[in-house]
Amino acid sequence: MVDQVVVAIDDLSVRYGRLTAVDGLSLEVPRGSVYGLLGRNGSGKSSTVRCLLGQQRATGGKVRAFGLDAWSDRRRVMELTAVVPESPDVPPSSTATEIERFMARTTPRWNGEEFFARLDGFAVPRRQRFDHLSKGQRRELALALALSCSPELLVLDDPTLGLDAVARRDLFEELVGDLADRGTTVFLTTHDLAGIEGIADLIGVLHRGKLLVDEPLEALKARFCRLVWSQRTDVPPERIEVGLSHLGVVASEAVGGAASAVVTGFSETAFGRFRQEVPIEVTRMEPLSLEEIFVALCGDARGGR
Amino acid sequence: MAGTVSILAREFSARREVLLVATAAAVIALLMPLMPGLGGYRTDDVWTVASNTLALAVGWGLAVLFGATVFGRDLSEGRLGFYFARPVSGLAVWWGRMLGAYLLILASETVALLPSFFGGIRVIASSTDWGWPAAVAYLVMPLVLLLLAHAVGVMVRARTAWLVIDVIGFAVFPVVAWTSLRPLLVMSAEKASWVVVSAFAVALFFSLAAGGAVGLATGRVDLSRTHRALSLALWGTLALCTLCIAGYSHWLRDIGPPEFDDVDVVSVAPDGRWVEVFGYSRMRLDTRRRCLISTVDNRWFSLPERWDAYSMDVLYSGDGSIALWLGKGVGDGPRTVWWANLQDQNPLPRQTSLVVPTSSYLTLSEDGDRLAILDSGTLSVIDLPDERLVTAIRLSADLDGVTVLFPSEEILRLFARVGHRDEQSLLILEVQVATGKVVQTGTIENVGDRPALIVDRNVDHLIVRTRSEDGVTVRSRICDATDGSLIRRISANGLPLFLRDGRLVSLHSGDSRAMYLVVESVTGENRMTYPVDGGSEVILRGEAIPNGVLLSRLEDPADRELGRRIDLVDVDSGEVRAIGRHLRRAVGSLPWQRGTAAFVIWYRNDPRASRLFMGQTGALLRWDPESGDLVHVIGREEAHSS
Repeated sequence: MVDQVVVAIDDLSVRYGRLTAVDGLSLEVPRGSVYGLLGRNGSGKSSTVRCLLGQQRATGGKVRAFGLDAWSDRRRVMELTAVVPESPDVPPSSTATEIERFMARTTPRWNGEEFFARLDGFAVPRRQRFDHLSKGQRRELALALALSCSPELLVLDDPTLGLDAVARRDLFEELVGDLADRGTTVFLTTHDLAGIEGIADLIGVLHRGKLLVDEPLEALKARFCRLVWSQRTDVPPERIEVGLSHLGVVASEAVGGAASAVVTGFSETAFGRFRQEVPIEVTRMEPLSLEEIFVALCGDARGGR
Repeated sequence: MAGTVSILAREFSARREVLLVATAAAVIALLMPLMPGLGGYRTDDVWTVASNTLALAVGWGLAVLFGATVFGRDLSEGRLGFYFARPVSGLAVWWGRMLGAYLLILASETVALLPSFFGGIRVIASSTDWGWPAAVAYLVMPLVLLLLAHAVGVMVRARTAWLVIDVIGFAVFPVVAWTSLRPLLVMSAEKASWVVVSAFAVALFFSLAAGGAVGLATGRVDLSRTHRALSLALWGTLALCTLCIAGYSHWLRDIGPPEFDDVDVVSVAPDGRWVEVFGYSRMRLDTRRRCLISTVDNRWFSLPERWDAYSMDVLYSGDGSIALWLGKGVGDGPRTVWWANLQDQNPLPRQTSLVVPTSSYLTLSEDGDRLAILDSGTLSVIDLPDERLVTAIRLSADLDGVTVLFPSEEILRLFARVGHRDEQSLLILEVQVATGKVVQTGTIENVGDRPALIVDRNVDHLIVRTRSEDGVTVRSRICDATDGSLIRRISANGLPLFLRDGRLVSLHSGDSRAMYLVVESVTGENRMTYPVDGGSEVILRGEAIPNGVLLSRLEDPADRELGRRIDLVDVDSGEVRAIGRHLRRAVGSLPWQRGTAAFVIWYRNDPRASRLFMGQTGALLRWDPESGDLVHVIGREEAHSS
């Protein structure tokens, strides 16, 4: 029986001396899903990815992939996993052809024809040294490498970092196409919230090492919204504040004659109760983009840590 | 394995440009004969020397370069994740990259060495004598440098707190290694030194390899953790190995008489009760212990090892009650004088405040109360127990090769050469210890370049043996030891000996294999002649009982391993009594005067000193005149026929 959970992280903590990078992180990634782990710089995303790839030992907790311990069973995990790292780490003097030969000898599920087809599709030259390629070409080569491993789990650590808008779009299109074909499980960290919004099934938001959000993207977007109402009302602000607190307000502001608040616990029932308790006229209920949700969750601190 | 090979191949391929450097080195070596000033040398010689030099430079340089960059740079630049994102083990990554780098170094060395082959295959390694050094230089050194540079590269790039441990480790390891090695070198234990050096080298090699491999396998892409794991594995392994090797080294040299299988007797006290030996144990390679050991009851104590030829053997007083030796020192620098009273129940080495140059000559008086020191033309007499200077005399600068004997507490007899080479004379001087007065009492003319002196017990007579100009013919004459007057000339086979009663014993050849033992007074009177069995290398040895001398001869000239047969000859009756068969040699029967400037034998020993023999397997044996048995003293016990 195939395990339906591909990635299971349980109470993961990563510390560097006195610095805690990841603090009690727990999450699961079901087979075939795309999990987007979001967070500001230094929030602990890359540490989590390194632990998942067995490249770094967790200070505490467990990280399992395919039911295997990611640290001690790294080799077996990596037989089913491919990675697109934050910075493409292909040996600088190697050409794509040389890398293909190396991959063919070391990677059991490697598909060389597919690799070259993707490279041709990206227009990445085969016989040019890796360090002579452009930044975009390096990313594309790294993506081609990962996808040509025919992985069951694809881990992407901020794959669009440093890419222009067109390159980002191409990368996600390639990714979406591949996912549609194979049903690969994807664990993705990124700052490109717009890009991930179209492909992610599950979203985790990591902030200062702690996981603030871990749920399906649709559910996340459903419970986050911005309420806008007129400030010209007889209802005392304190009563409004109490009412909003039941909806889980995370940000509020007043501009001109209107006031607004971003709430995290929106639902028809909760909103009905709010309107009964607080007789104000809500002029608008705006759904939030993923980026707005992220800013609402993580925008309270400078520097992210 | 497949992963290792793949990574090895990739590493080789990634750095293959360095073969161009090696090719350039080979071209330079090929062009060297065209260099101004090298035209006079054979072309193939120039190629050989140049290509070997350049090949070593390329090999060692690449080893350091690759070692410093093969992982350290990738770790610090975060590029090692490429390998760890593949289903290959950390060890495969480490081995693959290191072996790839190493094979590339070897390939580069080979390319750089090609001109040697053009010159008639005169690679240094092809020579038998150079085989080992060449193997070390071309194969081992690059590997060690690669590993060392790798470790240092990771340490320097990571710069974690573990760097402190690394610095301490790099400082302490050579000190500990030298501390373990030096005592072995001091005791000239070449085999043990070689084993310990090799063990340390292998330990360092494996520790570096273990540190590098474990560091990467454990730290993976994290430079700091790699550094920590590397340091832990490296210093942990090295500390454990060093501890074991240091313990082994200590065990090797921690031998005493109970462990001795083989002893080498260096000196014998005149009463034969104590001997200075180097003892060896077959289980402890060639380490040894220098000690003074009682031949009566096996009491013993250690003496400082002799680091070099500057140290001297133990000196004894005429009665054998005092032993004196020089302490440790560096090179030919000054040494402290030590002594022990051998009549004590537990003789303890006593350090004096006397410091003498190693070039000085020392002589003890009969009872050991006084020590004469001749140094740079100054003769000093010291009261040994009080360390008080009794007298100091400046001798004439013309004197050469001065020999100092102490016939009594108050008189020193000096024999000194004067003149040039073959025309030298021997001056006889007497020193009154109490007054410091020096009187020349006699002269012996024409003693040649380096005469040998054989002196009787009371220093009344001496035999001067000189060699003729051909260096072969030996002429002996008996002289008065006070005024130097010639008593008579004698001829004999080998060295004559003085009996304690003053008579002279010598060996003479007869017809065919026959030999004769001649006993006579110094004036040639009362001559008695006894035929003795001939044989090979028949040697007259000491007086083992009153009026009984030893005769030693090879058991079988065709097989020296069979040892010697030693008999006792009664000089009054000619009766021959067997002492032992298959013995290595008699010890103490030829009483050399240690610490004098000339070849001097002074027959003042007690007969007991001539009753000590070395057995065939290296044991020290004492002959018991009562029972006629050879009694085992020390060393491996063996059966002896007598």
